[in-house]
Amino acid sequence: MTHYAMVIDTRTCIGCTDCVDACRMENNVPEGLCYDWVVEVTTGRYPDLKTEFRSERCNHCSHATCVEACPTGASQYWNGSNIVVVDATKCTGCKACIAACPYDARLIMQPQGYIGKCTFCVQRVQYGMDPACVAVCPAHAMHFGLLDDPTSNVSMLLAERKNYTLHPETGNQPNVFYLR
Amino acid sequence: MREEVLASVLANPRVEPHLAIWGWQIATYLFLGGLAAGLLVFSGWAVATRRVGRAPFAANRAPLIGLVVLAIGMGTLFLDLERKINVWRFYTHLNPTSPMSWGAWILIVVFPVFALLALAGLPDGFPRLASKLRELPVIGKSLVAPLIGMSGVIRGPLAIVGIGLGVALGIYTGVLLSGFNARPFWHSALLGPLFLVSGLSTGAALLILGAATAEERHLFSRIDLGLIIVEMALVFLFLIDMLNGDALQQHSVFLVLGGDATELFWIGFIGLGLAVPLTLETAMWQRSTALIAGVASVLVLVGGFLLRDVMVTTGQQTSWTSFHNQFNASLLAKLRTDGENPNGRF
Repeated sequence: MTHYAMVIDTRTCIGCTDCVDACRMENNVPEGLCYDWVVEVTTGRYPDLKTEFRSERCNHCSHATCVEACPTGASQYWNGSNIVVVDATKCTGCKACIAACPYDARLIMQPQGYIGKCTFCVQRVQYGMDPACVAVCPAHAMHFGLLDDPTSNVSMLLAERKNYTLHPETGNQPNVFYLR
Repeated sequence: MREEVLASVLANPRVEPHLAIWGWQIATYLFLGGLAAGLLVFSGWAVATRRVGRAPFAANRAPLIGLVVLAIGMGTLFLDLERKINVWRFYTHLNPTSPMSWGAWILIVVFPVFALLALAGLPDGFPRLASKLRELPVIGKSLVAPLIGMSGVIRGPLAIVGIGLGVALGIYTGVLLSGFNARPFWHSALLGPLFLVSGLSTGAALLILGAATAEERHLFSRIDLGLIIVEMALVFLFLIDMLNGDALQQHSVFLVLGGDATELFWIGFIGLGLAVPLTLETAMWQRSTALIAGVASVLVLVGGFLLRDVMVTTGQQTSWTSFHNQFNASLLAKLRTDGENPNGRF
């Protein structure tokens, strides 16, 4: 399996939400909806507070419950990779995948009614480009690449830096990593 | 302290309530599906155990009513689909890990069995309808009459298949929800049996309402009493399961133990839907009266719907993630005069 991953450096992310805008432009996301979002996490006790920004999106799980829950096979892995995409011609809009996603990363496209989500910009990735959010990040906090390749940018970052994924205890094996 | 605030906007039901996953359509479908499953099981049971004489309504009339109920339920299920034009895609694929896929295929098998059982009961249950159907132009003599004859011949085996399919249909309505690990409040295997028993109970309640004789009414009153007791036990096991679950489940169960759904769950479902019918039907253990049995049955039906409604609504409010939204939509709406959703952009 071609194993793609996104690595986001919470130490350099400034929370500008440019990734959200870039995604809307690239993917023509209907107004009022979004495929990615930015969370501001504050921890500690005043005055020892720590803030980090997390750009979140679909985790393109290796064990994706949304793909398992889809009754029609519309939710599927793209080209034998871990990138989860929705085939709009098969999607009935039954919303089983929305209920099945522990990251709440899926949404109903308005007005068409099929289910939309982050695709890691497969339309760019298939030509060797980075997803729009990664390409546009002004702080160079986002990285994208193959986990199969030990010399890739993302593999080296994950080997060097402490990192975490969101809710790994779901068993979904998420593939968006955050560097501490 | 740990606080997670959205710096941008997330199109999420818990941020924007109007994006709720499933509404009344699914609650109604789960209720009617369970009801139809109950009717199928009891009708099959009445035929298979040769109780047609003692339970004529259940054996002869219930299958046709159940068929209509199921058709309405599938109608509301269709209404819920966001992209209705692709509905046929359910039947080009079987995903073994998807309960919804199983359900779609169970429904396609249940329908003809239900229809044949309904045809078999037609001559005794609805004689005028049967004769009208037989006299239909073209298909009346060539198709309907032989079908009624054939379904009468294979009625016994059909009834046994019907019992199995009814149980499958009833359990599936619960497994549909419990299959979602992402929704802590649904993630209990007890939902399958709970929804099955509730479906059987509502099925028995409808049979009480339509019972042809006092004997039949009394028979199903007693059955329903047992089912209500089992249902109560399963509900309490479910609550115990949640309270002993992980942190997410413990947190989610408080939606019915003091949270938003508490009144509907305890007063509506447990009180009016289970406790009152339990009391009424216990009082009628020796001798049943049509009025009291009718009231108890209507309450059981209302309770059955409330169970689905509470489960569907509450479950989707629970999740692994919980963010504070830095934009207070209702507050911002007051500041805006152009009517634009303030959460719609940032």
